[in-house]
Amino acid sequence: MAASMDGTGVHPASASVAPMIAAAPGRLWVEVDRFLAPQAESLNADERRRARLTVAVSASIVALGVPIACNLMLHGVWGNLPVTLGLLVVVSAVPFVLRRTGSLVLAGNAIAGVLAATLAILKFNSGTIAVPPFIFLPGVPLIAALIAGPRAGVFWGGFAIVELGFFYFLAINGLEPMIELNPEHLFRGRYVGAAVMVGFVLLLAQAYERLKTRALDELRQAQRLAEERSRELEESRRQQLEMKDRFVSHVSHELRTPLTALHQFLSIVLDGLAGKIEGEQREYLAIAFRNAEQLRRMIDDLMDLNRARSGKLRVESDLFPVGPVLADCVRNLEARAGEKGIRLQACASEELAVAQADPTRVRQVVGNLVENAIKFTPKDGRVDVTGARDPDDDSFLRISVRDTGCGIEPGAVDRIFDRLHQEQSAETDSRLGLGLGLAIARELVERQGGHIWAESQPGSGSTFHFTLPIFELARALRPCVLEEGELRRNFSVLHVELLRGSAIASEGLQRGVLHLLRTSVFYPERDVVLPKGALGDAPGRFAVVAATGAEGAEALAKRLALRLDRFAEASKTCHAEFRVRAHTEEVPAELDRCTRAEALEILAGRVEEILREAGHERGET
Amino acid sequence: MSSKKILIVDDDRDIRMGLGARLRANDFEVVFAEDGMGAIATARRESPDLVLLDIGLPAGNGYVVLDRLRKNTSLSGIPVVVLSARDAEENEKLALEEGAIAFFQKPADNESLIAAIRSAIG
Repeated sequence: MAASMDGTGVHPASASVAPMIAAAPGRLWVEVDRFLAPQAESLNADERRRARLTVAVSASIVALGVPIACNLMLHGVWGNLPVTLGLLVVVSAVPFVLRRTGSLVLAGNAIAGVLAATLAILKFNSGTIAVPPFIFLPGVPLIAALIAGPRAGVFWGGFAIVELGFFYFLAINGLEPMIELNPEHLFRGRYVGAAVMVGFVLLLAQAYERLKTRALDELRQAQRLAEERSRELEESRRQQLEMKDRFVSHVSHELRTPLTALHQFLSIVLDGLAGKIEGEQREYLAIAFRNAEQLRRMIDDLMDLNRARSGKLRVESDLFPVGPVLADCVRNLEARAGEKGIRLQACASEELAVAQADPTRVRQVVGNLVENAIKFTPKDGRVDVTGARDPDDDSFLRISVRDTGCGIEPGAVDRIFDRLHQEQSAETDSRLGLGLGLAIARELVERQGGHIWAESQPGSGSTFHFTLPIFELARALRPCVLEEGELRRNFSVLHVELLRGSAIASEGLQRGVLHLLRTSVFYPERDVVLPKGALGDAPGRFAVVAATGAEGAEALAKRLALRLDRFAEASKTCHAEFRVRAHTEEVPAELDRCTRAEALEILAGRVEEILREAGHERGET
Repeated sequence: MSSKKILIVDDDRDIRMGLGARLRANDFEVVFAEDGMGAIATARRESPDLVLLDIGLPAGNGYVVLDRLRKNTSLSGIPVVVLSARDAEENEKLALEEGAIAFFQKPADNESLIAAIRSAIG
C-alpha cells in the first residue's frame, strides 16, 4: 500500500525502474521459464535446468552469430552471409522445437550439429583469414554434453576432432580453398555489415524495452490487484464486524426482555409482595436472584465490549472524590466476599485528591477487579482496595486491588487484559463469567486517561493497579493555548447556570447540557468545556473557556442561550431555565514571553478568579 | 392521599404484569397499554400522572408515542419515564431529547425506578 502511494506521488515508472534493472537477470529467467511453460509439467528439475540452458545457448549463439557474420562481411566474404543466417534460423528455431516436443536430445544434437557444420562451412569459405570460427569448435561437444547428455558430448567431441583433422589434412596438403578478395565487395560489405550491426543493436534495445515495459505493466497490475484485494478484505472485515456488532446488540436486546421478567418476579416474591416466604425459600430465591443479576452483568459486559471496539463506549468526564466511590464498591461486594469467608476492606488516604474521570465507570472498573479478586481468592483470604497519589506521577491517582489468591503465571500477566482470556485453574470456581471483565476494565481506564497493570507471584496473590488523572485546571485548559508565541489575544469564560429544573430530571438534564455544550457552538479542539464538578459542589453550573475576541464572546453567549432555550423547550416536562453569562478579557501581556506551561498556569489562575467571582455573584443574587 | 395513576406501556405481558405488581405494591394505581396506538388512547382516556414507556412497541414505537404525547396539549404535561431493553448509550440521549424525564435500561433497579417516579410525581 505504502509503495503504491509513493508511486502515485512521483512518476510510477521512474520510481520502479532502478530495482527493475537490478532484477533483470532474474527477470530474464522468468521470461525463459514462461517461454518453456508448456513443457514445465513433463520435465524434471534437472531437465528444466537443461531446457533453460538450451534457450540461453540458442540466444547466445544468435547474439554472437550476428556480429560474427557482420565481421565476416566486413572482410568481404559474402558467401558466409547465407551460411550464418542459416545457422541463426536453425538455432533460433531450436527453442521452439524444444517447447513443442520437450526433447532435449533433439535440441542438443541439433544445436551441436548445425554449429559444427556452420563452423566447417565458414572455415571452408574463409580460408586462411578466418581461423576464428574454429575457436568455437570445442563449444560443440560441450553444448551437446550439457544439453543432450554425455553420450552426445562424446559423439560430437569425436566429430569435432575428425573435423579438425580434416582441415589439418587440407592445410598440410595445400588444398585449402583460396579466397578472392574483391575490393568492391569489400567496400560494400563494410557498409552492409555496419548497417546490419546497427540494426541488430537497435533490435536488442527494442527487445529489452519491450521486456521492461511488460515487466512494469505486470508489476503495476499486481500492485493494483493487491490493493484491490486488500480493499476488499478491509471492506469485508468491516462488514463482518458490523454484522457481529449488530448481532451482539440484537441478542442482548432479546435476552434482556425475558431477563427483565425474571428479575421482576423474583424481586417481587423476595420482597414479600406476593405473600410471606420462609427461610429456605428466601435463601433459594436469593440465589436465583443473584444469578439473574449476574446474567445482567454479563450482558452489560458484552455490550460494553462491543461498544469499546466500535468506539462508542461512553465515558464522561466528571470530578469526584475517589474515597467514597471505593468505599461504596466495597460495601456492595462485602456480602459476596463474606459468603466465601474473605475479608474485604477499602482504605483511601484522607486527602485523596479529586479525580477527573467518570464515577460510574470507575465504579465498574473497581467492581470488576474486586469481583475477580474474590473469585480467585480462597477461603479466609483477604482483598484490600487502596487509593493514593501515584508515587510515579503525582498528577495521577493510583487505585490498587490486592488479593491473597492463587496469583497469575508470570507469562500471563500481560495477557490477562486481552479479550476472552481466562486463567485456567483447577482450584478456582468452575464458573468464571465470560472473561471480559479485565478487557473492559482496561478499555475504561485507558479511555479515562489512565493505565492498568497487574503484579503477581503465583501462589502469593496478585495486585491490580490502575491510575486516574487528577483534575488540574491548567492541564484542562491546554487546548486554549496553542504553542509558544501563538497565544490568542482574548479569551472568554462562558458561565451557564441551570436556574430551574425539576429535581428528578436534573441528572439527565445536566448530561444533556454538557452534551449540548460539547457539541453545539464551540470548537472542540480549542475550546474547553470544564467537567461537571469543576465549579465546586454546585450542580447546574457549567463553564466553557473559549478563545475568542470580545464581540465573538457576546455572539457566542447569545447563540448558546438560544440553543439552551430550545433544549429546555424540547425537555418541556423538566421546566428548565438557563442563564448564560460571558466574561471576556484580554490575555495577560506576560503570556507572550513565557513557556507554554507557565502560560497555562497564568491562564488557569485567571479563569479560576473569574469563576470564583461568578460564584459569588450567584450567591448574592 | 389519593394514589397516583401510572400508565405502563409494554408489549410483553409478563413485564406489564411484573411492573404492575411492583408499582401497586408501592401504592400506585396502574393502567396498561400494549402498543403505541393503545398508549395514546389510554393516556387520553385515563389521563395518568406518569407514563412508563417501552421503546420497542408495535403500532408506533416509543418515540412516536413520546412525540404524540408532547404535541397533544392536554397530554404534554405528563412526565414520561422510558424503560427499554435497547442500547442505553444510543437511546438514553435520544429519549431525553424527545422529552422523557428519565431513561432506565431493562432490567431496571427497582429502588431507583420507584425513586425516579416518586420524585417526578410524588
